[in-house]
Order: sequence, then structure tokens, then C-alpha cells
Amino acid sequence: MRAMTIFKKDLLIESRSKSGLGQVLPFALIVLLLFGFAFDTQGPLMVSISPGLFWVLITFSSILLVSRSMRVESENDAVDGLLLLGFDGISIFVGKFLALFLILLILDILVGIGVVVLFSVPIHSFLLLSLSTLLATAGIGSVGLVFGALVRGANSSESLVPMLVLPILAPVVISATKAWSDALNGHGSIFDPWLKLLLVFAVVFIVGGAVSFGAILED
Amino acid sequence: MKLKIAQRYLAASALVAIAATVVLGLFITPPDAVQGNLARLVYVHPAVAWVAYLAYGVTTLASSLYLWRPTRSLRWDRLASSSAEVGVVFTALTLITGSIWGRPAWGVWWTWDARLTTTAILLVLYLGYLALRAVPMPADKRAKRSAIAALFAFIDVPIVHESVVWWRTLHQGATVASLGMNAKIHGIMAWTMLLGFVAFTLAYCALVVFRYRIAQGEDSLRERQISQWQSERLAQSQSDADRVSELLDNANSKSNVKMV
Amino acid sequence: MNGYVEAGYGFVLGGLGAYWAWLASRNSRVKKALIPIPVENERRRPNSSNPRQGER
Repeated sequence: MRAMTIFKKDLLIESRSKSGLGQVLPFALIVLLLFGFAFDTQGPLMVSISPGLFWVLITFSSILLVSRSMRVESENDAVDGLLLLGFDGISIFVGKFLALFLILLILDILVGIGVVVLFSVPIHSFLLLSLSTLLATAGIGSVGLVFGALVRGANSSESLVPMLVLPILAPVVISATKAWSDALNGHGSIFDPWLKLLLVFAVVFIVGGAVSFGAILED
Repeated sequence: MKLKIAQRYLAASALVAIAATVVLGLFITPPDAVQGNLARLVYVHPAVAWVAYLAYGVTTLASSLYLWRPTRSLRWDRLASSSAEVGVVFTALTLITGSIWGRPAWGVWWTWDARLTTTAILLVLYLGYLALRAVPMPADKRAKRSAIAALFAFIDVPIVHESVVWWRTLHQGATVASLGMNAKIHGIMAWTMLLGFVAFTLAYCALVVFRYRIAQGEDSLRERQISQWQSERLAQSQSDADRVSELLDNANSKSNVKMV
Repeated sequence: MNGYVEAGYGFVLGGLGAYWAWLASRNSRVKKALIPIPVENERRRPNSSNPRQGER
């Protein structure tokens, strides 16, 4: 229940601020358009590269949202207030993770629609598409939260978060891209091996984050 | 001081062993039947790669020992950071020698082979760790955070490896791993390879001890700076207080004069 | 031999040597800074002409 309080708090902050999705979505849209200019948007090329474009774009824009989610807590030492109020690390992590997950999913859906519409990509296995998106987003969110918390308070956290998070997320980008390729090319099923890898990654980092978050926050 | 002596012996023996490896590897051993002289890289490249992995293992171990309360000590933190830094150097050398070997053997400088790609990701992973360590922070705070980061990096490595292996093998056969590696190695070649492993492990130990000592020196330097600032502040406030009381005395004496 | 082998050995030896040299320069900097400087820790009396700490 404590986690729900944090969850609601973060969503409230997101809905009231203009600098979350409100800034990241236009950014993602303009990058999609730039991709369109950079590559020939007609023909089979777009189908084969759009999974990669999508996931690179999602990873980059997620990092903006993720570092924001922890910056909210580090400004004015808000997190110390949370700890003083008796919130434990696990519930803070779970609450923040769920809120971030929801926000990232909105980003995924809107950018995904953008990819499908702008690059006229056919979808064959919608189930695989959505499952892989859910799992990959969970992985990105949990890793982002952990490292956002680890660098909080640093002056250079804007550049430090991507430097730490992107290498860690390499398997997610690989697996999610491959799962999407399978889904778009029509030889995907829910037994896709990439889903397994995404699941393992998400579970490892969600559990790891939940366990270590208390220790990361109180120092 | 003990560390300094250890470092001297380690460095000297590493130097001798590396020199012996180079002489044996470049001049004494016969050229390989398949790869000719090119195979001489086998005396350095795998050894350097082994040291890179060893270094990250040590970083992980030291980080967990720091996080475990009964063994918590800044010594483990220094060891973790020293080992990671040396590990980054060896990882870079692994990639460079691998690339140099790959050019004539496979015709390209870089191939998206599973091991190569994992090693490259490993390099950026620990570069990130070092970047996190470079952020100015109180020592215990930094130690704790970087230890946690090191553990997360470590659990990521097998997942990275798995994903990269699948990524390659699901689409094209592993072409690289079998080349040259499975050739049987006999006699002096095997001994030279072994010597290479010993030599670079010794070099690793010497470098880590050196780096550790520097970390020690930097820590005590920081402590001394802090205590110096403190005493300066103290002296400053003391002189301020003296000055205030002086002014008060003056004011009092003036007013006394007036009153008289 | 063929250039590649020499380059490989050269990079390894050069790389390790360069790293060692860098460590040595760092070490000497730290050592220089750590040489104990006699600090006059006496309390400054009013109107005294003692230099402030850090001044010569």
C-alpha cells in the first residue's frame, strides 16, 4: 500500500509537470521524422530496420524520463523525507517502478504507432510484439531507476546515467529488437527465445533493484 | 611500506617474465603449421584477456566484501577500484590485440563475434563504473554506491554474453571461435603460453598494488586537506573572535572616557 | 615477420608501459603533496604579525 502512495505521487508529478512525457514525446516524434529523412522510407528496408530504430529511440528517450524520475527525489533531498516518513526501500522502488513503467508504456505505444504509420510496417504477431515490449520496458525502467539512484546528487548525472545504463541495457536492445523483427516478419510466437531472455533480464533487475534500493537511498 | 616492497618484487618478476615471454614468443618458438608467424599472438592475446576477466572478478569480490557489513572497509573499495582500472586497461589491450589478429586471420578488423562483442560491452560497462567513481562524493558514500554498481554490472555480464551468443548463432554460424583456437599446441609453445599467463598475471598484481597505494595516498591527502581546512577555519574564527572583543574593548574604553 | 605480430606485441607492451608511467606520475604527484609541511598551529594573537596559515 505504501508503494501505491509513491506510485500515485509520481503519476501526480508527471501529470502536473510539463517536462516529462510532454517534452520527451515531441523529442521522440522529431527523431522518427529524422529517421524518415535519413533512410529511404519506402520498401523492405524500413521493415527490416524499424525494430532497431524503435528500440534505440525508446532506450534513448527512456533515459531522459528515467533520470528525471530520480532527479525529482534527489532535489531538496526529498528522498530523505520519504525515508523519514517510514517508507522502506522496497516500497519506494516498487511505487516508482510502476509509475515509470506506466509512463514508459505510453511512450512505447505512441512511438510504436508512429513507427507503424510513418514507415508502413506490417504487424504479424501482435502478441509477441506487446509481450516483448512489456518485458523490455520493465527491464529498462528497473535498470534506469537503480542507476538514477546511484548517481543522484552528482553534477554530471545527465551524462552519467546514459553512460552507465546503456551498456547494461545492451542485452535488452538486442533481444527486444530481435523479438520485434520476428513479430514483424511473421515467424514469431510466444515461445520466441528472445522473450525468455527479456524475462530473465527484467526479473533479475527488478528483484535486484527492489532488494538494493534501500541501501542505495540511505547513505 | 610492505606494499611498496611487494610491488617492487612483483614488478621486477613481471618484467622478467614478460621479457621471457616476448623472447620465446617472437623468436624461439616455431611458427604455427596453420597460421604461421601470426600464431605468435597466442602467447599474449589470451593471457591479456584472462587478466581482464580476472580483474573484474576481483572487483566484484572486493565490492561484495565491502557491502557485507562484517568485512566493510575502505580497503576493499580501493582494491575494487584499482582492479577495475587495471581491468579496463587490459580489456582495451585485449580488443586491440584481437583486432590486430583478426585483420590478417579473418580479413577484417572487427567482426561481431560473440566474444568480441561481449568484451567490448564489458569495456564500456567498467568505463561507466570508473566514471561513477570519478564523481566527487564522500569516501564511504562513493564506496557503497560504486560497490552496488559493480555488482549490477557483474550480474549483467552473463546476460550480455548469452544475448550476444544467441544474436550471432541464430543467424549465422560461429565462424570465428573455431579458427586457430582448436589447433593442438605442443611442447615449447604450450610452455610459452603458460609463461605468458603467469607474466601478465604478475603484471596485473604489480599494477593493482601500485594503483592501490596511490589510492591510499590520495585518501590520506584528502583527509589531511580536510583537517587543514578545519584548522584554518578554526584559526579564522578565533581571530574573528579576538577582533570582535578588541573592538568591544575599544568601544567600552571610549564610552568610559566620555562618561568620565 | 608480418607486421601484425609485432604490432600486437608492441601495443601490449606499450600500453602496459604507458599505464605504468601514468601511475608513476600520479604517484609522484601524490607523494609530493604528502610531504609533511610544518604547520604552525599556534593560535593567532590579536595584532600579531604571524603569517596566516598557508602564507609564507
